[in-house]
Amino acid sequence: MLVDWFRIKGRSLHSLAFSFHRLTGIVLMIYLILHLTYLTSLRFGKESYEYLISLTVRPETLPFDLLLLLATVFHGVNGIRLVIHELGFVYEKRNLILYLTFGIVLIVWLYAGYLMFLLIMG
Amino acid sequence: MKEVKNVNVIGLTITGKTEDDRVVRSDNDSNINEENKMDTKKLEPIAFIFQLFSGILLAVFVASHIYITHLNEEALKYESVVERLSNSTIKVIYFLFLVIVCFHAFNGLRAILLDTNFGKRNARMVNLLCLIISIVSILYGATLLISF
Repeated sequence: MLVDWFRIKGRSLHSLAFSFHRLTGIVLMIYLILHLTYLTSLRFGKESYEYLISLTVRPETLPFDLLLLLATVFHGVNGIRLVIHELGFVYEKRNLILYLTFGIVLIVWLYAGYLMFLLIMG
Repeated sequence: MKEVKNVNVIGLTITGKTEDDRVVRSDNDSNINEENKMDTKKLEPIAFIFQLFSGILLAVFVASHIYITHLNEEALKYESVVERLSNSTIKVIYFLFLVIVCFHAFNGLRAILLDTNFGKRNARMVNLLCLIISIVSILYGATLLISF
């Protein structure tokens, strides 16, 4: 059943969006656990926190940050689309809304990614 | 594309307009333990509604969180983080954020697991496990918040 999520052939964009929503959800859940663990360093003082920051906020980790950002933006924007449909709104225009979702995801991701790039690369 | 009127969402059969072409999950799986199935269905509508609304809140929370923490280089400095976490108002907001994000994440995990054959056979265990992980994560995050 899980293997079906990775099958692309013969599936509609709606079905793929559903699979990606779940996959990004799992990625974000794992990140949440890591994030909470990571924040523990704050309790051990400035040195341990800044050591972890120096390891994770650097040009080499930027591609991973951007991928995580994409997962976050996709899950958020697609989630709002799902809520809108589940509440019974604009279902008859679901294809248009789906394309609009992809467009918004791309724009938000590029903008936020640009800001992140500026922050990390100085 | 045909309109799907009855689909199973996180173990709940929803009547109404919803996603087209979703991965179909069958309620008639012969391997499902009927007792477990009934057990999981009692709170499903509430969990589903909470999942929707926590998702909307999280979209706002997460966007604000990313914006604040990436606003400038200073925002990630130890002193700035400690200063933010020492503020009572921010602490309360972060606690709410923590509860909502933990519920959303682990209820989402539960929904995914319940869609698998393993989850269908062990629904009670999956529910309990996700509840425990959720509570532990909230308590862990809360102890972090109150330490500032």
